[in-house]
Amino acid sequence: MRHVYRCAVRFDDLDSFGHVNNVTFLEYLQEARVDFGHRHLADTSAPHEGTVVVHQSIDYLAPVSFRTEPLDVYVWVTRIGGSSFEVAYEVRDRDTLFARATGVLVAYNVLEKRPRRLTTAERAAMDRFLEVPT
Amino acid sequence: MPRHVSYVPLRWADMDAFGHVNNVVYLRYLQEARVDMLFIHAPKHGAEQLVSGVVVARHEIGYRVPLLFRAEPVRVETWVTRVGHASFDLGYEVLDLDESGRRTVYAVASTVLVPYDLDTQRPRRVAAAERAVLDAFLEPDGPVPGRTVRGAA
Repeated sequence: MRHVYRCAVRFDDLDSFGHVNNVTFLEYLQEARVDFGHRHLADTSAPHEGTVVVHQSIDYLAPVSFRTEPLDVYVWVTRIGGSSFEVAYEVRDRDTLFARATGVLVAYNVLEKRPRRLTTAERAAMDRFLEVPT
Repeated sequence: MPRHVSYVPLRWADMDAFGHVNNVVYLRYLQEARVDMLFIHAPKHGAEQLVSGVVVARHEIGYRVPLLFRAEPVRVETWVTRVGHASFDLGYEVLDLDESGRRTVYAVASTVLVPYDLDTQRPRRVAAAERAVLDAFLEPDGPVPGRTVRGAA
């Protein structure tokens, strides 16, 4: 199963080349990831048990012009480890795939400022979105 | 080969709710360094065409140490890892360098760039003058943004 986040394009997301700036795509990924967390991982960890991004990659496949129709940002899980997990994303609409991306996230104790183990509840919740790449 | 060095100022709003610079903002720092190198430095050395259009085809970034807000700008070193016919790759380190030469590296990243003709909306080849400027920064075996996670399984 993939989570989908409807992401609005803002007028000032565009740069002087007239397309959505490359950095802004990572904001879209972040919005989708946070929305995924709020909807599907709420109550699976304590408030001080967060996650931090340790690696990202993104391939830009087509430029995005200004549009009033939101983009669809799909996010799903590709690996669940002891204290880290990996996600994949697609930024697209019905006709076009604009970008593909990956992220490595580490479960992090915000108070102790150190990595932590993923909770059983987190693992169970994420497992429903697990799609191991072939 | 020398690296291009930029000093990028931090903004208070670069930090997120975790109290450190947000992951997305690092890409903004890379962009500032890249623009400084390709749109300000390179045209002075004969690669004027770069200003008129280069698009990012891929980024990869590994975050090593959290970066906190401070008044001093952060150092971004940028170099060239490959020059192809119609694309080239950059490497970056976001770091602090102290008086004794000790380096604290916050992130390592790489970017694939494609020269692009905005009028025709098509990629174009790397021009000879551009290749000459880029070759001056060539460092094919510099650090790469590996996926190793320190202290985590």
